[in-house]
Amino acid sequence: MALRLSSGAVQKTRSAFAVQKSVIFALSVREMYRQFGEYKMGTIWVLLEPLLMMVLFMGMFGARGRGEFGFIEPPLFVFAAFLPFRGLFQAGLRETMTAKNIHSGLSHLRQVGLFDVMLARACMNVVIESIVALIIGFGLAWLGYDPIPDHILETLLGLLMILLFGFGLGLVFTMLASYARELDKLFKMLNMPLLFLSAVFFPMSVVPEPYRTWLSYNPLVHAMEFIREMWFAHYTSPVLDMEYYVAWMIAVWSLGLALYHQRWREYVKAS
Amino acid sequence: MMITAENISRSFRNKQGRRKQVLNDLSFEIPAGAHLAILGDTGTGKSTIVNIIGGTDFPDGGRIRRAGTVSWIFAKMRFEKHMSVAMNLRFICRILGVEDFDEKSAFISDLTGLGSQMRQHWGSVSDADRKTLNLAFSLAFKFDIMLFDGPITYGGRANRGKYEPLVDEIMDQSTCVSTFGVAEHVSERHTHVLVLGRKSAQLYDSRQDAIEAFKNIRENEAGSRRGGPAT
Repeated sequence: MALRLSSGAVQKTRSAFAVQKSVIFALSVREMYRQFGEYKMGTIWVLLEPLLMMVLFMGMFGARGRGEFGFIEPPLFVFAAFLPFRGLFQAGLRETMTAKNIHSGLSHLRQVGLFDVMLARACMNVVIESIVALIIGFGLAWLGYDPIPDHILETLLGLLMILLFGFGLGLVFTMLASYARELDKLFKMLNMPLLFLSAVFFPMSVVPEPYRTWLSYNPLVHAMEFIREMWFAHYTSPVLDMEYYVAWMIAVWSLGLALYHQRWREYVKAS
Repeated sequence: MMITAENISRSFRNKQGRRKQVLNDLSFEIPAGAHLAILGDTGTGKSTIVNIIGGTDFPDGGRIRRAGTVSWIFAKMRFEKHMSVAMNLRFICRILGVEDFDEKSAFISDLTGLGSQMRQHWGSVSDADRKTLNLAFSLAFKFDIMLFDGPITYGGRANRGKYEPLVDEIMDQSTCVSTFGVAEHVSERHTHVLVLGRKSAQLYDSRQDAIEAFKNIRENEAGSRRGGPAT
């Protein structure tokens, strides 16, 4: 709605890309300080939660008299599934959906858009989760496990895709919630069931029919299975269909960006 | 033209959920170097216009064009309280694309004499110092369009003597937009005055005419309130 006339400007105006680049960098640094500037329980929890999960899994599968998960040791299984799901998908979803709270504190700066806050928070999360993954990975290596994926590049691609899915879904949810605030709570409640329906705690190979077919309608199952297949070369997923997943992702992102384009001003105005 | 508003309208939803039209099909043009005063009672949309010019609010319809950089509202920057003043400054510099943090930081601590407070968290800075720093932050950056909303609070006579000349300097360099609720506060420097009533908006380029019009609007509206049916 706002245009910049080319003549009459005393100061040099920056290109839209230059503004966005500097805004995202500024926000990332600011969010880092806000989150880690002081000692908080959350700082430790980032590292503790996946560690506890691993101990829990080892305990569970150990108690059943099986030292391993059929094809892989429990700690590595958790490392390759729970950590990406929580740290990339759920974080991507959370950061996009909470971005509006942060943005409302920055609404006096016209350069800062809602999308910039989402991107900055997501970038920050990727950095944090990478550090957590490195620490746990070193720990696992020290204990004699092999934490390095068999196909590294493909695994990274899978991780990127699950992050993008979380981000895109968060974008859609945030924008839909601008029509009715109550939807926000509903979307937040989806988080827990998704954790159990997305093949995070089990590989699809242990799921019997007909549940296997039912579960494979969930696009996230395919992302998790793709990561698993690439991470552990000897695992072959019975359901993996990346075309289905990519179609979902394109649909989610198109819908999200279209809604954002339509609604973001309404969002800023409403707050 | 430095600022061009074309058919701007904006409505707000009030507590009862009803829409209240604040700006209706408003158009005006402000040339570079001119100063705009927006004169009106509370609730007539003064701040809304400033925010729309500043790009932090958006019209429901119509468009706004500006021919240069635009400031945040003078001395109304919001700070992150868990970050030091210097870090807040860095954040703003990054947002604005200013690379020389040290120069801005030196300017602010020289101007205010609050060098040690610069290293404190914003949350632990005293209220008086916050006001001074907020003022200094606005003075440290140059914009083509400077926005003011409400009277400037200098916080003490000593501060006023020190900062008022600097604010005047800004008025020489930039196109300023300010809001007023009292006609007498509109200074000689304002070349354009936008007078807002409950249902009307009119741009005057003479201060005298604008003050006259504002008084008329006030009398009319007060009269219509008294004479209108009781609700």
